[in-house]
Amino acid sequence: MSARPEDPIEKSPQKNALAAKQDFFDKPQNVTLILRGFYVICILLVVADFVVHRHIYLRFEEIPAFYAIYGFVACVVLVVIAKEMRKIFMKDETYYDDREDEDDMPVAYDEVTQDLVVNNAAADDEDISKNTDCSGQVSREVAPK
Amino acid sequence: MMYAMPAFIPFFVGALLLFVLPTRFRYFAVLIPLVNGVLLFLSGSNTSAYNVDIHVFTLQLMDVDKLSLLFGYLFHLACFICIIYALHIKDKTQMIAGLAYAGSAIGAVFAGDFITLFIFWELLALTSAYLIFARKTKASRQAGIRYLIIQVFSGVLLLFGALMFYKDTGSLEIQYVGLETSASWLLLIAFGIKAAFPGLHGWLADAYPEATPVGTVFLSAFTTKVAIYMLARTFPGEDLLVYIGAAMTCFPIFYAVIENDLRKVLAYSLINQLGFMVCGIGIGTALALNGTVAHAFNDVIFKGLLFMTMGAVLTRVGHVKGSNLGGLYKTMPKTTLFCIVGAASISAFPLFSGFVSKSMVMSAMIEAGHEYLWLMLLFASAGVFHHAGIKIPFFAFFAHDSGLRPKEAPINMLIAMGIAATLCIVIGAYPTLLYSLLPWENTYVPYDLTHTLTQLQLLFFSALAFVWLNKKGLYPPEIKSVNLDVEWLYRKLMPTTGLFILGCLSQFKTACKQQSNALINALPVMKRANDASAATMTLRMAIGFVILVILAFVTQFF
Repeated sequence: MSARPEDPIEKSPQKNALAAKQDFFDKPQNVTLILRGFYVICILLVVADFVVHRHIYLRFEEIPAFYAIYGFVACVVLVVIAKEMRKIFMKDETYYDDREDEDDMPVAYDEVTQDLVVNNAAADDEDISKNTDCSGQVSREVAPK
Repeated sequence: MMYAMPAFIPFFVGALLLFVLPTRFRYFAVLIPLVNGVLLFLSGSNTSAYNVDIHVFTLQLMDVDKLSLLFGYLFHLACFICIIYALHIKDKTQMIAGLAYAGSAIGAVFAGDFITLFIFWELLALTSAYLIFARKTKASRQAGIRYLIIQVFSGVLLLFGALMFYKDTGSLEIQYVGLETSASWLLLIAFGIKAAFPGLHGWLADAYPEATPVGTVFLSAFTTKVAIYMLARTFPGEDLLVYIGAAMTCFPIFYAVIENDLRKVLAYSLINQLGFMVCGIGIGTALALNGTVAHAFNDVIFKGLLFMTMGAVLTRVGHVKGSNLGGLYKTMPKTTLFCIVGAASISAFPLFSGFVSKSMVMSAMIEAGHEYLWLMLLFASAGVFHHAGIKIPFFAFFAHDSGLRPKEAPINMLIAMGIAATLCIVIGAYPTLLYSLLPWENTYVPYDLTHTLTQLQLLFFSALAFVWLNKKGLYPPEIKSVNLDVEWLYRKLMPTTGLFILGCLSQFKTACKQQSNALINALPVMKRANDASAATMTLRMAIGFVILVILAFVTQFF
């Protein structure tokens, strides 16, 4: 995977996941490390915008770091609007079909307590066990890198 | 060497043989797209045309030029990867359907006239529907039927359009049509249904996530790309398409962000990618059309790759619901890696395939002077990274630990994903390989400093937005749900209104019956038909006379 040097979020976990399968992402310090590297790259990219002479095709592009700002704002707007859309468009999973012939819920996510309810019986097979490093109670704050 | 037969024949013969032979012969199916594709490639532009005369009509089964050849190669390649991906399945019917489906797509791109196209257009619908039914759940059966109805309807429109086109021009040859006559509108809508134009896209987001793991990979490769190919042939430079395409790039990403079923996220992201292609067709310059074709080529591979990784998860876990997945990188590292390659490609990271083709459409957009539409495409580019580039790998393989420890994907799936991932990187790193096949003259250089830097800025700050939103807890959590889309019209509104109207009508009918009964009862004379005495006869005649007088009186006023 030498072909993708500028993708720290996604590359490093992979490389390391192969080496230390069980716990790379479960350690908060690793996640912090990756995030720090990511922030540094973001800063460098903005700095590069002032150092390198970009070709300007459109008047929007004259704004310094236009692409960086646009990318950030676009995604925030996207998510905010999408969240609002949920209020109108989101329905229960069984809104159209009862889907009773699909048994695909090995794990349930308890929306009240924000906890994961692990149902081992339904999960895949022999190699599932009560994990030593993560008890199935990982909060969502740790999980996002 | 010259290739001189209709290219779809080996596929149909193969499908037929597989139907007769025992299931273990399915491994030989890999050879069909491989050998046929290599032969076709070696023959290249020397490939001869092939016509069949039926009475006075000529079916042009092989109409070869650079455009149809490139799509021909692409479909062989896609079919090859799909079949490897399907090898572990003992149910050979999926492979039979897949082969026939790929054959139909190849038949459609080499079709030289609308009638031949119509035949393959409908075959595409029929053969692909089985890939949805094969999931064998109630939801998939119903989704398959809806899919089939819409697809066949598209074919009917195509036939109508073609016949009207024949009446207008006296020719059935597939050529530039342009939006002028009502025939051309019918053709546009027929193609638009398969290309998932906004409002006509319901079938795609509805049916693709319901298909089998293998089925979705097949489905994502062929139907929509045939439609893109036909649009590029018949409506290049049609201004309306630029606006349609821009809308297609933007609206699905909102759905993709809140969707829980990860294959449905990919289905929406497929519409988004089609939007870029439709934009390119609408611009119609050589650069734009080259960009469209190149992007279709890359999209088949990287979208196929993403669907394959999700198919692997579906095979191993039994579902692809973002709310119940996470942490799969621990036991499915190779699939994770392939998913990340696919995600980087679709997000157009430099050195990955999306980068070298999407940017062609974007540059053509600037050249054509559509500044604000260009901003929409840029928004969509950031958005696609957000939902397909980050969301898919993140929620499936990282995120919170779901406690799931599925086995790694079967070896044949890994090989198929490996081939697709390699292609993504090779095309991204050496774009000339793809550029040399493009139908129009091409001088585009994707790797210059400006483009690379701006694209990296765009993507990294989109990722930064994701990190920031997640840290702030603003990111919408994955929730088990369905989101209403246009399919609501025919899955909820129409049945409910239909039932309501039916209820009203039956009430009305009952009321009418009661009223008329009451009325009849109110006329006591009518009840005594048997004892028609002189008095009742006179009464009846008098009533009849009065009615006639009133009628005569009333008619005087009109």
